[in-house]
This record gives sequence, structure tokens and C-alpha cells, in this order.
Amino acid sequence: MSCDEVNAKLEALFDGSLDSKSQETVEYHLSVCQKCQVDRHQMAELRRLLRRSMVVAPSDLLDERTMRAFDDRWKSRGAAGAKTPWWKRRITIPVPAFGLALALLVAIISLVTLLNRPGDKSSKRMVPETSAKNAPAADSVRGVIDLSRFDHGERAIIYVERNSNPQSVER
Amino acid sequence: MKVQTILVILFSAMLLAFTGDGRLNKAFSANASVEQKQIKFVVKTIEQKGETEELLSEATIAGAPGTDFNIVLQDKHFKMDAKFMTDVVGVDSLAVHAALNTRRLYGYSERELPLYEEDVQDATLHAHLGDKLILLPFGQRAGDKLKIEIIPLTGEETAYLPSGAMRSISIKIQKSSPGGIINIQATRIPHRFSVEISLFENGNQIARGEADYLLKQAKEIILQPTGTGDPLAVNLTIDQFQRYRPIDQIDIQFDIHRIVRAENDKREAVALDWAGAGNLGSSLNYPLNEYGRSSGKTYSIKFTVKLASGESQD
Repeated sequence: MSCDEVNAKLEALFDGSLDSKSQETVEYHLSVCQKCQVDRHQMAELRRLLRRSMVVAPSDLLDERTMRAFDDRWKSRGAAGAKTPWWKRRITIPVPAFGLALALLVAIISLVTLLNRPGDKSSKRMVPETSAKNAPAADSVRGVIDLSRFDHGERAIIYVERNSNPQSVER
Repeated sequence: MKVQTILVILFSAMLLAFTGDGRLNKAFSANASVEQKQIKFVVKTIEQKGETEELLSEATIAGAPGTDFNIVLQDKHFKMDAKFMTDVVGVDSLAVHAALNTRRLYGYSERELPLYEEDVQDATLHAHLGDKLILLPFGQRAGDKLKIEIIPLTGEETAYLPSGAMRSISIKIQKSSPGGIINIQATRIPHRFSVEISLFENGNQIARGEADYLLKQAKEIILQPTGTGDPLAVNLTIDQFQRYRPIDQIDIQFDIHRIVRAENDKREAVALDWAGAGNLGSSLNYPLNEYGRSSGKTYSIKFTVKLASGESQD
């Protein structure tokens, strides 16, 4: 392993994120290479110094300032909302509730559509018309003939009926 | 002596023809009446309830021989369109070509569209004056029946006016149908046609045939080519006559078969279900590529359809 490769893995070595084989290789190189030993030493010193440096804590006024800004923002939005017409106001609904309501609406529409499909009704009406033609013959009362009472679904027939008395042919 | 014998024979023949009860006399007189008088068709619609009959409607169609008529029976669920094409074919007999088209509502589809049951029938009937054509639109099943009687009779009026013009068709309604379920229409178009068919080889006519045709009546003509060629059987139908100006039109349908003499008159199709339309009197030409393929010659067939003699275009 070259010095550059070892140098690139020093950070990982300190973090303990090297696998055992890489760690072994790097450790061996460091044991025989003075230059890399110096580099490790410098890096160790730098890390130590960083750990010892003071952590910057937020100011005590930060919470107060943040809360004040939040209040001011809400107040300004409330004032603006009061002036906005109702149809322009946004409705704030939690996303899960909105999704659930939308899903319910889609389900209801689908159900209604399925129940009103023509096929469901027509499956009852596919019954041949000819089978329901025994209605009483009230047509003579109304002066209209209901042909369906003659119709039993048979083919039309035509034939010649000979005149039994040819002499009586009307002229 | 010889002249006297001839005169006696002629006189006897005339006596038999005009004064006796022989067929010639009957044919002459009846034919004259049929030709001169109109034909009328009494159309009665009757409801049969068991043994009793009730007349629902009655109408009389009167027109020159060859008058055609349509009877349409219709309500919400059922329609019958019956077309009758009539021709005087004998002394007092008629050929009636009936085309029955029925359509009944069967039900509704899944898309709520109406479904119909349709039926088409064709029949050619021969009837004498006074016979009844019985039409049962709903068949002959037991129970209440609807019957349409059509009785052909000789009309009272002459078929032609003194001027020579054809007397117009009339439809008199003696009793109208309740609710107007029956509709009757009548018309008259030419029914008889004279057809000439010619076969050409390399542009030269090699066979010719001629025959009279009735509208919608199939008839076969054999064309025998000059020389040793096999004859052709042409089965032709004049399917339709259409009023058109300046010239009326006809539709034809035909099949052509070669009659192979060498194979015991086996028939080989040359043209099947061919059809055409053209002006009355003009020629309809068709190349017969299949017929002359082996000989290297070109063949074609020509149809010329005209009105038959005695047939008027009015």
C-alpha cells in the first residue's frame, strides 16, 4: 500500500470504520513508514484539538426571538385572512383525513355507477318480448289492434287457397 | 275440289274456335278481358277467434295487369313488409312473386339498444282469378290468428283509357284498419324484358342467345360458340328495375358455367355471383379472363336488356 493510499485512509482509521484487513494493512504500513507515522500523529493532534475546542451554544434570547417572530407571523396571517373573501381562503385539512375523504368519495361514486349500469337492468330485460305478450285484448276498446297477441314468434306463411267455385268469381 | 276441302277445314276450325266450348274460344275471350280490363286485388285483414272471423280492414287495389303492391303491417313491436309482384301469365291466371320481410322486437341489449329478429322469405305463387292468397303474418299456430286475404279479380274499369294511356292505379278503402296498422301501396313497373347475350372471342362474336325474362325470375341461356369450343351456361336474373330519367335502369345478377363436353357435361364455374347495373337498352360488357386463359385468347360477354314487346314503359 502506498503512502498516499494510507494517508487517504487515516480518517477512516481514526473513525474505526475500516474493515479488519484494511486496518491491518494500514497499521503495518504505519509501523514501517516514518512519514506516515508523522502524518498520523498530526491528524491525531488535530482531532484532539478539535475535540477540546468550545462548543458554541445558542444565545438565551434565541427562543424568545423565535417565538416572537412566530407570533408576529400568525397575527399578520390572521389579519390578512380576515380581509380575504371566504372563497379565496385555504382550507387546512390534514393530509391523511383529506386522502381518506377523497378515497371514500371515489368509492361511493364507483358504487353508484356500478349499481346503475344498463347491463344490470337489461339482463332482466333480455327476455324476449314475445314471451310477455298475453296481455288482455283491450285494443278493441281503444280502436287500436295490439298485434303482439297474435305473435307467438312464428314465421309468416303465404299460400294459395283455391276457389272451390270458379263460376262464382266476382267480376 | 281441293280448294273446297281447304275451305271446309278452315270453316270448321273457326266454328270450333269462336262458338264452341273449346280452349281457344275460352282463351281468346278471357285473355281479351284480362288484357283490356284492370286487375283488382281485394285485400282483407281478418281476425280469427276460433270459428268466428272478424273483418278488421278491407281495401281494393285496381290497376293494369302487372300492377304490384306492398302491404305493410306494423305496430310497436312488429313490422311486416310484404311486396307482391304480379303478372298475368295465362288465360285467367297470375304469377305472384311475394317477398316477405318481417322484423320483430326481440328485446334489448346490454346497451339498451333494441334487438330485432328479422326474416326474409321469397315465394312465387300461381293463382287463378278468384283464388285467395292467404298471408298469415304470425304463422298458423292455434289461437287467435291474424289473416290477410288477397283475392285477385278482374276489375270493372278498362286498363287503358280511350286515348291509349294507361288508367292510373287506384286504392279504395272499404274499411280502414283500426289504428292504421295496415298500409297498402301500389305501383306498376315493367316486368317483362327481352335479353340478348353475346359471347366474344378476340372481339368477334362467336355465340349469341336471346330470351324473355320476368323481373326477379332466373333463367338459363346456353351459348354455343362456333367451332369446337365448350358451351357456356348463363344463369341470369333481372333483379331490379329502377325508374330513372332520362333512361330507366336495371340491375342484373348472373352466374356463368362452362359445360365441359369431354367430361360428361361437367360444369366449371367461370363467373359466380356477378352483378351489374346499367341503362335499359344499353350493353353491359364483362371480360371472361378465366374462360380463355389456357387458349391465350380474350373472351368477353355482353348483355343487352330491353323491354319485351308489348311491355310499356309507363
